[in-house]
Amino acid sequence: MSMVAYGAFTSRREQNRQRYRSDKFYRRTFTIVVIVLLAQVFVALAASALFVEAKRIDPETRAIELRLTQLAREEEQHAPLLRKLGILTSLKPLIVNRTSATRLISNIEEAFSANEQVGLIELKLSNHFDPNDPNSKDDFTILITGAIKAASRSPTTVLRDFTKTLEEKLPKGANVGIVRNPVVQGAEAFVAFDLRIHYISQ
Amino acid sequence: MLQFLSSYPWRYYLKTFFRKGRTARGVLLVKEDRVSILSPVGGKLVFSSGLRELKGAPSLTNSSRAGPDTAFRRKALADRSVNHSFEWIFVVDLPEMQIHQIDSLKYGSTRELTSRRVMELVPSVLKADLADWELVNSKLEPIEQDTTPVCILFGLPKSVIKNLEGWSRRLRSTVSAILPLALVLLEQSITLSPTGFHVVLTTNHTVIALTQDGEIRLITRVDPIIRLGATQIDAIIGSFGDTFPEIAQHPARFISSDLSSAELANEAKDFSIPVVSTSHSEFLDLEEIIQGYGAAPIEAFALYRALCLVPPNPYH
Repeated sequence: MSMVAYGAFTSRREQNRQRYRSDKFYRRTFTIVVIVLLAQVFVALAASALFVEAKRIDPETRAIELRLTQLAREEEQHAPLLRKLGILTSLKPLIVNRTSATRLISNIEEAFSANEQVGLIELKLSNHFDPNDPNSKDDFTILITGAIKAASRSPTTVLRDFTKTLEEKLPKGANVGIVRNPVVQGAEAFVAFDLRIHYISQ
Repeated sequence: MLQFLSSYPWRYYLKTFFRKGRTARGVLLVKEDRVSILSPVGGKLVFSSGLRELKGAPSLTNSSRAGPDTAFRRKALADRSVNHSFEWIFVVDLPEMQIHQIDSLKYGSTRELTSRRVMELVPSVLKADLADWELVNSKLEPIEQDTTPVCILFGLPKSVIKNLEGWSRRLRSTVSAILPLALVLLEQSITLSPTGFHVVLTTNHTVIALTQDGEIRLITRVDPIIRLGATQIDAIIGSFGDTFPEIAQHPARFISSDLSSAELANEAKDFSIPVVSTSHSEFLDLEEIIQGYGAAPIEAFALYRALCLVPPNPYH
């Protein structure tokens, strides 16, 4: 059977139409263009959704910003008070961790009360504390001059017992040292002794 | 660039983005006095005639609109799956159609068939620049396929081609080919009688050809038989017979899609040589192939032949 040519008596435009329809390159180009356009549509949709959301939360954002400004202003107004509070806060460890001298003296008085044969003549207390250093600790040095009745037991034994009592009464970590032992000389009724207490607050 | 953009089939790519549809084909006979269609409906070829009066029907003279709301679309194209994957073959008959016999030696090798070239080949040609031209060999095949000593030049007005393509484009479909009715009927006649005379009668033309073993030796076109008269045609056949006396012994086959076999026999009764009027009974399995062929059997079969004449889309 004879066959005429495909596209007989059709215009070049119609033949091009046919060719374009089946051309892989043009079809792929179209696919890419469609994908690009769709991507742009998605981007536009996402952007418009963000814009709408931003519009929706805009009054809320403005209110928060206003509140922040107000708070900043209030903070500025209360700056001196805040500074004071800051200083107090920095001083807190000094106040909380300090050991009062009266407490130590009270402990020493209790020790004297517990030993009738021992009496207090003089008590000197010094404290090496730097109030400008927030890490500074109480460093107490106490010098005690006392007297023991000569008629009683051996003054040295009495002093040793007193020292023990003193160590029990004082806070843990206090160091008690004998500076001068009681020595009986002649017919004196009392024998003097010296003690040194060193205590650094924990 | 503009031409490229206007031809760029973005709608087709969009519609076939995920899946290319199955290509379907249909044939439309477009004449001044009638429009008929042959295309598949539910897997079977269905022929319908008398569609010219429907609004939106294709026309040779003006660019009719084949929109979705036209009667032609609703009635003639219903169930025919005419969409972007549909290809049309138009069979046309119009007075401006031209047929010329060309000497292949004169034509030369594969040169573009411009109107200038046509005027060189046929100095007597009319309005060469207003027509589109196709050259076929004596077996009615493309000349590039086999250059036979005789080749035939067909010409159709550009305006008609433009109208039909525009009509098809409005349906998003494409055009596979536009064929002159005389060419289709001649091919049909040659298939039935490979050797002998052939007289193809259409409303606008009488084509007389002499063939030998399916190849055309001589061909000419004259006015319609009604206008020219049987005597003139008989004289042409006689002169052909003088050139090829050995073929002239065969009877002349008459074929027409306009005239019934009885009318054909009446027209041919005064001829000096034996005449065979082509009857639809000569086509085998016509009722199995085409549904609704009874209204115009030769016409229906001519459209079926046109469907077979155009090869499948080479781009697919």
